[in-house]
Formats: sequence, C-alpha cells, structure tokens
Amino acid sequence: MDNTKETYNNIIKAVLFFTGLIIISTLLTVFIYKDNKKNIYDTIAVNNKINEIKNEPNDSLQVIFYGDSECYSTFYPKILSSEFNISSFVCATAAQHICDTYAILNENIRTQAPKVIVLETNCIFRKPKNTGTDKDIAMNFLSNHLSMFAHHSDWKILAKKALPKKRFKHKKNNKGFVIRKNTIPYRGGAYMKITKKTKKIPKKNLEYLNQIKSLCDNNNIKLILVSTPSPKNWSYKKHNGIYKWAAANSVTYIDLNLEKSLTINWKKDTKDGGDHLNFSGAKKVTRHIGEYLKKYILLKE
Amino acid sequence: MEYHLLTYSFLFLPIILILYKLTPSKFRWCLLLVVDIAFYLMISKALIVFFIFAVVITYCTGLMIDRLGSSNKYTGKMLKKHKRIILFIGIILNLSMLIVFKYFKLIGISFIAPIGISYYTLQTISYMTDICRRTISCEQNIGKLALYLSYFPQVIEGPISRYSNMKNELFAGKDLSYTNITSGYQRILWGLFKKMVIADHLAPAVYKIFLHPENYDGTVIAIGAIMFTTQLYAEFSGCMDIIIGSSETLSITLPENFRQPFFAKNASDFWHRWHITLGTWLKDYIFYPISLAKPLKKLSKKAKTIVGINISKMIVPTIALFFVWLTNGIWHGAGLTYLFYGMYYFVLIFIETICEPHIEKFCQKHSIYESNLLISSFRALKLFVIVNIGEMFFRAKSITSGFNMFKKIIFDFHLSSLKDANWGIDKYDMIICFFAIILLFIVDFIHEKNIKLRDVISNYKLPIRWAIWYALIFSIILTGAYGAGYTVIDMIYAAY
Repeated sequence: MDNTKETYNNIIKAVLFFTGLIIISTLLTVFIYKDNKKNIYDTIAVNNKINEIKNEPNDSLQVIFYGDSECYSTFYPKILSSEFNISSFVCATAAQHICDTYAILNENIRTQAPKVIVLETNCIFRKPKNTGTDKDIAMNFLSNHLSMFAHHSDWKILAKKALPKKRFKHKKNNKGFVIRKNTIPYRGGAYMKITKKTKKIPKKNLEYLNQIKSLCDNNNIKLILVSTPSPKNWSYKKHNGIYKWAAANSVTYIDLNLEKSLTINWKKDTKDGGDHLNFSGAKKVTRHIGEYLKKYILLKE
Repeated sequence: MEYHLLTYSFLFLPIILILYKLTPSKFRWCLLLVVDIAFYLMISKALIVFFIFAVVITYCTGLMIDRLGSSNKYTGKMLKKHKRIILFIGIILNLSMLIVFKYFKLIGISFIAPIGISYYTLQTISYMTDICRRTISCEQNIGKLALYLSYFPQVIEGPISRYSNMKNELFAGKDLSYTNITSGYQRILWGLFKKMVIADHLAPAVYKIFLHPENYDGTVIAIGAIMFTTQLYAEFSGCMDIIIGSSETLSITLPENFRQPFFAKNASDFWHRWHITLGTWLKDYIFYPISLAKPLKKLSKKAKTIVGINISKMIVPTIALFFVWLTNGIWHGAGLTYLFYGMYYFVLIFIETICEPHIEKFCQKHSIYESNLLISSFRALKLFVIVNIGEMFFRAKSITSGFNMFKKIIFDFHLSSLKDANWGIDKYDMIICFFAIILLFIVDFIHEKNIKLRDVISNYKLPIRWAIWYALIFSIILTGAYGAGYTVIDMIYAAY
C-alpha cells in the first residue's frame, strides 16, 4: 500500500516537474524568443550582417556579395573600391544557408539600392535549414519545433543591445572580407572533369533562390551567380545544376573554376589545400570580377 | 549514436528504461544484450563481426583455462604453464585485432575501427587473466559475457570495468527505482553541461591554435594548451557523467573514471584521479606482472651486489613503470606524440619517486606541513604546469610542432598579443565558458571535500531543489554550443 502511494507520489512529482519545464519554456518563448524567425538558420550571424550594412551610409553600395566562407575569403571590397571605383560590401557568413541569404538581402534593400547582387553558389547546395546535427534526432526535432532551441543564442543579441556599443566595434573594416594569409597547397590535380551529370539544387533551397531572384527583379537589381575557385567544394555536376537554373531564369552565371584566364596557382593561392582562397588568390579573383562588374555598371549608367 | 546527443539521453534511454521495466527481471539481461547489439550495429554496422570474434575468443579462452584447472590432466607447474599458454594465445588473438585496426596506419594501411575496440580489448584481457589467476570463475553463458563486454553505456569510451565488479548488477535484473532514475538523470545533466557548455565552446579555439600554432605567439599558445586541457577534462569527465548516470538509471553501477584530478598532489596522484580505470588496469595487468616476473627478480638480486640495496630496490619498479607508461602512450594511438606523452609521465613520475622522500624529509626537518598554503599552492601550480605541457604535446600535430609550441611559450611570450588574438569564439561564449569553468571548479572542490552534492541538493526543500535543476537544464539549452554557428564535437576519447 505504502509502495503504491510512493509510486503515485513520484508520478505526480515527475508530471509537475515537466509541467514546470513546459511553463518556463513557454515563458521564455513568449518573452525572449517571440520573434518569428522560423525562416532564419543563424540569427546571430544574420543580425550581425544586417547591422553592419545599416552602419553603411544609405544607398552607398553598388555591389553586395552573399554566400559562405568561400565568398568572404574571395571578394575584397577595398580592391574594388581603389582599382575599379566600385563600392561594395561582403554580406557572407560562415556556412551561410540560403534562407539566411534571403533574410539578409531582404533587410539590406531597405537601406541600400545596389545595382548588382553577387551570390556565391556554394551555399545553394548547403542542406536546407536544420539547426541540430544530422545524427541527433531529438535535437533536430526540438530545433525545428521550438524557437528556444533553434535560436537559443539570441540572448547575445539582447546582451549586445544592453552593453555599450564601443566595446564591440571592429578595429579593421574590411567591409566583410576576411584576410587569410596562410598557404597550404592543393595537390589534387584537375578537378572540373566534364560530365553531363547534374547535382540537383535541394527543393527548399530552390524556393529561396527563386525568391531571391524575384526580390532582385522587383528592386531592379541584377543578380549574378559566381562560383569561386575551390577544388574541394566545386565540381562539374554542381556547375551543371547551377547552369541549368541560371539559363532557365536568364541569370548571369560565372563559374571561375572554368575560367582559364584567372591563373590560380593552387600551390600558392589557397589557404587550406583547395577549400578556400587565401589573400593572394582573393586579389586575383577580385580583380577578375572587378573588370566584369565595372563593365556592367558603366553600361547601366 | 553518441552519448552527448540528446537522442541518447532523452529518446533512446527512456525507451530502454520502459522496456527494462516491462521485462521480467529474469530476462532483463537478455534485453540489455539485444539493446547492446542494436546499439553496436547502429554505430559500427558490419564491424560488429570483429566484436563477436573477440567475444568468442574470450569465451573459449576462459572456458579452456577453467576446464584445464578442473581436469586432472596437469598439476602444479605444468598446469600453470598450460594455462599461461592458453591465456597468451587468447590475448594475442584479441590484441591482433586491436593492432590491425589501430596501428597498421603506421605502415600506411588504415581501416575504420569497430567502436570501442580499445576499451573492450582491455576488458577481454582482464577477464581472461583473472580466470587464469583464479580471482574470478569463468562465465558459462556466452551471452552474459557478450553483455559484459558490450554494455551499451560504456562500450564507446569506457570506463574499463572488471567482470567481478559488474556481473552481479548487470545480470541480476534489479528493478528500476525512482531515486536511481532521478539521480542518474541529474548526473547526465551535469555531464551535458560540461560537454555542451564548456568543452564544445572551447573546441573551435583549440582547433584553430593547434592547427596553425606558427601563427600565434607563446601567450596564445599557452592559453590554447590550458583551453585544451580544460576541454579534454570537461569533455571526458562530462561524457563519463552521462555514461555512469545512464547506467545508474538502470540500477547498474559503473566504476568512476575521475576524482577531481586537478586537486592531486603530484603527477602520480593525478593519474590516480584521471582515467582511473585505465590506470588501475595498467597497474594490475602490466605493472604487477612485470614487477613479479622472474627475470626481473633475478636482475634485482644481481644489482644488489653491484649497486647496493637502495638503487637495486628501484630497478624493478622503474622497469615496470616504464612499460606501464609505454602502454599508456601507445594505447592512446599510433602517433609519436602519444608515445612521447607516455614517456613524459614516465620521466616525471620517476623523478617524483626519487625526490619525494627527500622533499618529505626536508619538510619534516624544517616543520613545513602539507597543509601550508604556500606549499599546497606551489604544488597545485606545479601540477597545473606539468599537466598542461603534457596535454599540449598530446594534442600537437607532431612532436616537432609540440616543441616549437613549447619554445614559443618560453621565448615568445607577450601579453600584449592577447588583444589581437583571434580565438574563433565570440566574447559572450568566452564569458559563458569562464563562469562555467568556475562552476566546474566549485563543484570539484565540494566533491574533494567528500561532500556528495546530489545528496545535499536532494535534502533541500522541493522548490529549491527543482530551481537548481531547472537552472541547469536552461543553462544547457540557452548557452550550450549547438545549432547554428556551432559545431557539435564528437567524443574525443571515443577515437582512442
């Protein structure tokens, strides 16, 4: 009898404990994680980039670059500014998901009127939004259903607002570009082997890509897709996937992996064995793309 | 499925607990065995064949040694000799798999190893040796032996348990208890806190510094080494908390693997508190057998006449100690850095063994006591330096890289470089990490005072008790390094 009573007591205690857990979670969701951020993967990175662009004078940028680390390792706005007289900014974030590209672009066009948007294509193939790890089913479920898990680090945004801004200002303003001077050569040989096979753009990503295209069209912005040189990330299959979409939507697509005039030296121009370009590689690519952008902007003017 | 994933603690384990409760106690060990097999298959898939092979070898070896002892075919020395031959074959067969999977990469052939091979191989050796030593009796049921070797909470990274300590609880099918379940989950939460809030936050900085130490000066490298030691401790002890906690929910006690290592008096004491089960295994199956080996006894006798009693007394333990640390180093992996790590501790502990008696005499003579704050602080600092240097070499890409890092710490130390250092972690995460490490230190300090924190908390009134657990849960949810912007780091010791 006592045992049964104890069991009931324990069950009631457990139920109450979990009820408390749910109540606290709900309160946190209502008061801290209330914003509808269902379509953003990395709110902190998105927020940072939105704020960086807000700090730029209104309508001052002609070109904005989007993408992941491939993008911020490659396009150097200072060269574009000094050698081509193009004002630009890199809005790339580490492992950027295309849903975040759309979220940043959507905010950016409120204060800027860029002529060109350059989207580095590597992020187009990144797996659609999933904030957990592939292996962790429980975490994935919680992240996909409770914003408290998906955006758990958003308290940093509140803390940032509460703390004096001065302490968090960046010393060097490279307009979103990250200088990487290390060199680890790529020794893998030729990597763009011609094939008819196509790597499909994930369905969800395709939706975002179409939305980005519409947003650009509606705001009279030219969308250019650029694949930066990267033997580790790029292949002809991916090239075909992007090429098909670009051709069907009349979007300019530049695959720098196939650009022979670029003369990337894989012994010297890569930071990490063919994954990202280093500073030397970035300068070459920026000058190459600078020529193109200059021609286009002049033509438009 | 690794232990630090929520799927393990909050999906897999609850299902097992329900099934365990529903199964009659007589068959609970069978359920655990099925779960173990499923768990192993989920991680290592077809490589389970090698695990099964190890179980069969161990089972047959144990049975053969046991039968040899009960038959009248051999007696005395001959019996001992035959038993040892069988044991030797059993050990060699089990070790050969470990060698192929772990060390063949030295000659350019590498394979994906079955999960936990480094751990269960040590358990097979201890099981077979203990039968040979007659400290345990042979397990007649191969299923039960397989359960002991593959018990799911410990199969990936230990603790390295002994059959004699495990068999009663593992096979008894004890009923689940509310106290054990809550207590187990409390420990799991603490483990998740250490792993997700401390270890995984430090991981990007450690990775960055150790990948290109040439880009940093000595100050950053020194902090990187401290960060790695902290990461390793938080990660390994955190995973142990999850492992031991999850076994506790099933009312099965696993041996402890950590006992506040940073409160140790010296390097030797440190190893009595860090990866305890590996240390005791090495003591029982390497140190003692070598110390008691006849050729060494002879050597000691001969040495007595040549170098005197005092030095000759040291020869045998020193040789045994050398093999203990050689094995410790090699066990961690095929790299030279691991070998160096083992030898580093061998030299340090050897020096300690020689110096400690003289230091003690000196302290007694001058009435300096261990409790003296200055002495204890100096000891703590000395140990801290020793451990961090050891871990730096352990983590370094190569021994040369380790020495270059060490050289930078000595000759290129500028505090000013901290200002511009890029740690790969944002300031908020650093602050979170800092406070979490302080909390870890306080908890360890309380445990060092022999106070069982969970018992203390359980004596508080319900609202306070629950407030503490809620605080722990939400600190993990809100400040853990998971999701966007973070990388979930795999368990470090699962790779050894």
